[in-house]
Amino acid sequence: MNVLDVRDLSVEIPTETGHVLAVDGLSYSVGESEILAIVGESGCGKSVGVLSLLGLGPEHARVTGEVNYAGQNLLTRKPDALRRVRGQDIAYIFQDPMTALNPLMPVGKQVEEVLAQHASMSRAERRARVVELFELVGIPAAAERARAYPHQLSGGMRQRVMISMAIACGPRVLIADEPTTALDVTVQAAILEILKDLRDKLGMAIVLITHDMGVVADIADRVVVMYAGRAIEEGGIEQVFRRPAHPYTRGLLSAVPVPGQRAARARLRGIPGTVPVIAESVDACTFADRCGRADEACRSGRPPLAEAAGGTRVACRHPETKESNGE
Amino acid sequence: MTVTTAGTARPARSRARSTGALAVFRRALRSPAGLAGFVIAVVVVAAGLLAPWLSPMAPEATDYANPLSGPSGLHLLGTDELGRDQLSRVLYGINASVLVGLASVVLAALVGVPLGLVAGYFPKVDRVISQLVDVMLAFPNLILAVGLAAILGPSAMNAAIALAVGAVPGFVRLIRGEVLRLRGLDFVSSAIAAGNTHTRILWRHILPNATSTLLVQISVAIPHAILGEAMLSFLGLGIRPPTPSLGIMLAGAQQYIETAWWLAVFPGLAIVALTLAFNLFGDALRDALDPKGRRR
Amino acid sequence: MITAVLVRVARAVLTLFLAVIVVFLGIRMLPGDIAVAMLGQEGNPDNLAQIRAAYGLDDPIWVQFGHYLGQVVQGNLGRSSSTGLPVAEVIGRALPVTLELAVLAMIVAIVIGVLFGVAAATNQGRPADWAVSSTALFWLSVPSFWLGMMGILLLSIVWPILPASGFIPFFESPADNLRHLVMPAAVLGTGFAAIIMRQTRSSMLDALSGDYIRTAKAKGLSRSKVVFKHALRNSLIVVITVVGLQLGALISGAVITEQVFVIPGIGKLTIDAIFMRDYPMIQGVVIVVAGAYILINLLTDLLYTLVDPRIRLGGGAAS
Repeated sequence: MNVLDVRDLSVEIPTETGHVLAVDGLSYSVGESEILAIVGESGCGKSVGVLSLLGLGPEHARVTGEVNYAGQNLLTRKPDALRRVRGQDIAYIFQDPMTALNPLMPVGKQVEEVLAQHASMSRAERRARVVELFELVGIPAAAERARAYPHQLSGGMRQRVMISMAIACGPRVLIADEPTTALDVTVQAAILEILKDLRDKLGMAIVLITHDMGVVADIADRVVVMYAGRAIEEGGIEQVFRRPAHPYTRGLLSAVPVPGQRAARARLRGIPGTVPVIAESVDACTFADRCGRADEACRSGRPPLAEAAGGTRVACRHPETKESNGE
Repeated sequence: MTVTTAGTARPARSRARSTGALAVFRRALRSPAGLAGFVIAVVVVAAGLLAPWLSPMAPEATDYANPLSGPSGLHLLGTDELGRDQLSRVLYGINASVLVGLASVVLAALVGVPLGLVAGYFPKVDRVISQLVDVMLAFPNLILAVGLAAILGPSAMNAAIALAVGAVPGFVRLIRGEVLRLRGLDFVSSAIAAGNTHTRILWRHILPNATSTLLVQISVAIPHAILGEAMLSFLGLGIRPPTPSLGIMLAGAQQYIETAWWLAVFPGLAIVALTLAFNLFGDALRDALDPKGRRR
Repeated sequence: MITAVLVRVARAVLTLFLAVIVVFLGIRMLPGDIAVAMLGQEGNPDNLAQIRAAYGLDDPIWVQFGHYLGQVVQGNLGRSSSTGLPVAEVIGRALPVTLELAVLAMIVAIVIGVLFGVAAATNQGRPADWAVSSTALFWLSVPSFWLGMMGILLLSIVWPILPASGFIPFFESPADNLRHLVMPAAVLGTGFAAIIMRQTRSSMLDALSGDYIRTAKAKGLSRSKVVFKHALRNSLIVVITVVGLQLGALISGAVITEQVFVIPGIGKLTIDAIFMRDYPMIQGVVIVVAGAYILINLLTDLLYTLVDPRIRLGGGAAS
């Protein structure tokens, strides 16, 4: 059963030099206890896409499409109603736990705030719950740490605080936006472990945003590959890693030496050029300019997501059929 | 096809802003407020500088037939207690304000910039200079200017000097900060590594990169100086009568405020126009240099 | 942490000491000396010499300074050369007047400045922001003494509801005291409010774009909680510092405001002393003002330290 169902999401951001179409008709869904990874290079719209689900995106962004949660389209809900969903039903974890925490407030207080907002608890109950949550995410000396300020904690501890804040009200969906990017490799692994563990214990759905194929291989059940605001390939983790059909997905994977082991962060070394900035939706494949096999058909029509031979769904007119061997 | 294949992934990052003084100046003129400020400043300053030609009458000429008369065809802005033409006096007053204001800022920059350069570059000298600056900052600006003006005696030049001294710490601190920032950058490190002399590094590598910031500081200091001159003259510590000065005119107007409102209103409006114009332009300059205003 | 505070205090004391030297030397540079001020340029040379000897003006300058410093430390600032009254006593009478004016103005400034600053920042780019920001810029361009004169013109002459000048001590009649201070405090306070407003606006914008604000929103907090509990608290740190640095403007403003509204405070005392060539008085006033200013700056610094846990508690993370 799908907990969150995103249909045809588009986000248009006005800038000084005209507007940018950051997300262009993106659809995906995530089920209970499922971890969905949305992967892509920086600037491909993956972050803006998830922030816009609950109105946390850029100030004047125009968001269209449908975000279905618990039988309602969140995009049409009033700000007040949306606020009740935030933190309670759908929670976020952000990239840099240093800047994402208020430097002037003890971390325990910051977690308490979520509880005060959504749960009817007394002060003492909230405090007890914070300690419980801290212990759940593996913060040692929890009661004492709750009184610390963000600058007194290490990066990994701060991210644990962020996670405990996110899960405080037992959300059904956890959106983690590059949760490990700002952390050391060893700490990264620990944080991913915690996320998996929480998924198992609490049964939440997790939408994980990352540019790191290694992280995807580590934790995700399913993956959506984004390019220039669009989903270009989607499928189960096994299929995408074994038989990626889109040339771009292949390029992303070629930057990771061996699937399943995060030896290095994924970098697009194999693909010349950069992600284009899109002003409006075009009737063409946005990858065509960087693709070796692009032809007239690619440039004159937007390829739909369709079943590929390897079991993934791909938006490509000339999908790869061979099995990937890391090249 | 509207796939704009920009050089980098994000438009905001690709458009690196030039921070050269000229580019900043041009950008400031592109904002409506900056342009308005610039135009008003040019008009008011020109009116002041051209006072000898624009004034309908000599500023000291008395018209005993019409003392304290309100605005009329003969005297557009009315006359004071001696029957002197207010419009002429306001124009000459602007002239004096602008000259004293500019002179004090130039003076402050001439003293403050070298001190700031040295302080930022040589840590040992910095201790002395920074302590001196601290002492100067121990006196509220106007108190310092009032004290100095009292020591030096009232005159336009002395008012400029007194105001300049008060403005020096601002320049020292700013330039010092810029030097400290620039020193850490690669091009300066490589210039040092290449064996350039200290003077050369300061003048050829560091100062040119600080000009925009300096420009902004100057644009902020000018309206301060103009207000300062008006205050000193108002207190009788600035320009000496009978030379027309907006501050002195306002001081004199206090006595007649119940009967001759025009004496109090017009010189004040002139100060406001002058200061506002420089403030508008200064703000635009600062925004042009640093769009988010994070430096201050 | 405690060492840092001590260093800061020591620096303030050193600065005050140097300021006293500067004032002392500055006064000796004034045209004419006490003897001339008392007897006039044409005074009998014998009498002039007598007074100089009496005031110790014939001693070497460091002897004079040592003597003066010794007296200052004991709180003795000498006697006024125009009235013969002890300087410390005269200042002691004028100081509360100026303090009351400054405190009232400060209240006006903080309330108006912070409220409008927050309003402008939370409405960035909208007409409300434009209106508030333009008004603040305009207000900064208006000389406070002219603002005072316009206030008198409008509220005391055209539409007489407030007294134009004078001062009634609070304990004589609180109502009259306030009636006389409303306009001066408003003139001084709104000028300062413009500075506070601009600073609050810019640091609020900075704070509002912070990642922790996004976190606060993601938690589902209400807009007012996000703005006041998270953004405002963070931006106030910057506001406190800048406002502390700008307190000199408030003191300077008080001098001139007192002049316009004929309020017998420190400012009027200073200006009168300058015109009376009352050197001991000038010396005393300037030292007291500088001392007060240094003290305020010190307190601002310490307050800043208290508000910011990153400085108060120190210790970076072991990451």
